[in-house]
Amino acid sequence: MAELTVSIGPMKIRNPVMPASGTFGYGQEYEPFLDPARLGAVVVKTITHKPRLGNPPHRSTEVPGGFLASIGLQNVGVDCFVEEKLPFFEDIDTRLIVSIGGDTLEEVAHVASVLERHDTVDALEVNASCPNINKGGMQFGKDLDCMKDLVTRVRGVTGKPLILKLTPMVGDIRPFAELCQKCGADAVSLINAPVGMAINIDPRRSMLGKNLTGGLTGPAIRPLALHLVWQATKCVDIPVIGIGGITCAKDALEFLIAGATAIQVGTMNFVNPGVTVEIAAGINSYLDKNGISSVNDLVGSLDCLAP
Amino acid sequence: MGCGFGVCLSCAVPLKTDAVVRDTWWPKPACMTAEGGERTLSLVCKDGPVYDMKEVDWDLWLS
Repeated sequence: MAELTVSIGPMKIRNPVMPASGTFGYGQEYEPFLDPARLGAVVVKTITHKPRLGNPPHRSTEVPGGFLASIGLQNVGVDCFVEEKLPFFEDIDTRLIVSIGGDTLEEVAHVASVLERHDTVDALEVNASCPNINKGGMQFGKDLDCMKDLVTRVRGVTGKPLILKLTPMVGDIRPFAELCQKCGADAVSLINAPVGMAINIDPRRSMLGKNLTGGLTGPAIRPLALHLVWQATKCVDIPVIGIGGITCAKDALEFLIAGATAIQVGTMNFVNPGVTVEIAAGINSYLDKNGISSVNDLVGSLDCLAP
Repeated sequence: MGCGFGVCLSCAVPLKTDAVVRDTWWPKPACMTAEGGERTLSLVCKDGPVYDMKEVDWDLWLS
């Protein structure tokens, strides 16, 4: 058994595998399928200040190699989350990372300050990248000044490990990762979904109805994600959490070799709800087979064939 | 395809808040009312697939 523990800033996690926000509900939904204690961490759906109903139907459609979705941050709101969803994690032996979001910087900071008071929450992941809302989300993550305000404000109200989730919808991801590090983030996670579109040609309407566009996820985005993760790891010293179309241990290993300290599995949870645990086991088998004693020795071990 | 067990939130159906049919036999656990109580959303995978046709907000759904 290889050493699988990795550190996300000051937080140690049992193994480098966690679900991606928005694909794991509030955690409890997966109880019939897996033991959360076998994951590095659980990442719950993005929480906002007030409850949100999200976007109107149709919210999702399949596309080649992927899934196009426009949910719009439907969630129960931070007060209900604390009261009804958080107690589940009190007896669960795993790290809990809560994804937070909102329409304004003030809202995100408020949610962070509420969660700051709860020891059950081990870390915060700021969703600066949701592609399906008009305000906040990706609008924060596409502008360096806005991103700077966001990270600084949230850092100011929380002492918990802080992860910034980045959007690929920028010309160059590197300045955003560097800025997060400079402003005190403990890690960055990427990528959130790039924006995509699909049209039903008979009624000449979007497959996502009046939402028109959605976030593209699934294996279709994996090469894009892998490249951006590799780029980000080259320019920051804080851990990078790789996300994007991971379906199996082999996919996860690609991200680790590229330099990601940990990985998140998103859309595949909908296809195989037990996939995260299978991926953690698969990474361990790979390390054992190759005589690598710790996953940290694998991280960033890409052979670039440099002269 | 969506997940089928209430996490991807893809299969949301708008219901008329005042007309929601909800009782012991039809608890609709995934029903959510918010934003001033005017809008209610239900998940087909948890609450459906059968609905009372009078509770569905057809205008919102099909517009």
